[in-house]
Amino acid sequence: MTTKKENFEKLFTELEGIVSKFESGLIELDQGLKEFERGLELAQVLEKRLKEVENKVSEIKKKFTNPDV
Amino acid sequence: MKIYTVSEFINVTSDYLETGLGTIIIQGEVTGYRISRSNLVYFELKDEKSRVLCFGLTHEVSVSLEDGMEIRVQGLSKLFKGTGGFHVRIQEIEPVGQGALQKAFMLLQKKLEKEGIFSEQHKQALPKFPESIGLITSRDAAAYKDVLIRLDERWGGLDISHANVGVQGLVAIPQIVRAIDYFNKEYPVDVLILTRGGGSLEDLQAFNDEKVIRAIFSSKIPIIVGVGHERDITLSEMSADVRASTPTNAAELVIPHQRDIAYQLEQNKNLLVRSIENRIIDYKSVITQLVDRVGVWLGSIQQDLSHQVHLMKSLSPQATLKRGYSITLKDDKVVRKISEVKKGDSLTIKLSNGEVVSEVS
Repeated sequence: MTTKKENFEKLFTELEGIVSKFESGLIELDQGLKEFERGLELAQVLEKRLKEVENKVSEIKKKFTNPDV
Repeated sequence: MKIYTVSEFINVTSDYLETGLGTIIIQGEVTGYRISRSNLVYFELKDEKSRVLCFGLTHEVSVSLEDGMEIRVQGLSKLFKGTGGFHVRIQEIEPVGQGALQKAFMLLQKKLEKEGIFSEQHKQALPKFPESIGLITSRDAAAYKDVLIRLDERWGGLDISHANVGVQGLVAIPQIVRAIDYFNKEYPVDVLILTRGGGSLEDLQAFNDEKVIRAIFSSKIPIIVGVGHERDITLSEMSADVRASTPTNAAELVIPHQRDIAYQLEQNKNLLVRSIENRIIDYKSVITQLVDRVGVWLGSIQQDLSHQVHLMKSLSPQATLKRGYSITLKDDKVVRKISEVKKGDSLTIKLSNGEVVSEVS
């Protein structure tokens, strides 16, 4: 199973790749079933990621207002 | 009394002026502006009664100048070592008044355009789903809250790092430059947002400053710059990878809305399910067609066979006998010619339903 830490963009791009293969019709049934399962799995992982609500804001400690630091 | 050498005297006087007066700011009109040996900037600052020479290096003078502009020069009073000439060693230059600012803006825009700083080919694409964002703005600016609120509305799980810098006036220049530099060298993030609210040309000076523009242009991290209201356009925005019209708009450009992506995922799932179903239906119809074709083929073979059987039946000797023909046999051999029999021979005549034995007379 895909972990949460995997890059959203990477997973999303993979899903889009699978979808466009299906759209083009260039896929065999046996291969297609594997890709289909992977596609649904990716969609589920991504949907779960979408449910995250909190953004984390951190203040950079370096002081840009002081030229010597 | 101490006797100085000329160079000693110039050194002492220069130091005396520099430390005695400290950093000074003088306002006046530029005249005799020139660049010599490609990197030395000279001009005089004048008012109705007097003029004074100003000197600096091109890379330190980030405002583009032209004779007649009203400016403020911040610098130190010094003497040239060789000639002993008095001058102001330039630290910062600030155009004064709308006219001078406008002029400086146009001159710099023209210069940077020639260099291709604003050209599309240098623009980097933003990541579609950044996970870490560097936010460069003042904590006290409305823009800071505007960006965070809009980001919260759109996406969750983002790692936002805020670099607190001034965004107002000239003091902001080195701070913004250092922040961009810091992210690029020591604090990697997926994308940078540099932003502030709207203001007058004077307020937005840092965003029209050559050092800031070059820092944005050189940033290896893709950068969105959004300043003020829709109508405020700064050179910083033009040199950014993506220009946002407002701070809020910057947040909208940096990350899509969760809702839209959720919808897209739903669409993708539906498409996958639909196309796999269609694929199965396709296969089913191919199989049905095959079965049909085999049926037709079998039928035609069957027809062919019964035709053959019929033909064979019609050609059999039995069928011929039925039609009234007979076969004459002598000693179990078929008699074909009259010369094969003689008087007194016993012949068997085969009819359709029996035999007649006869004698040749």
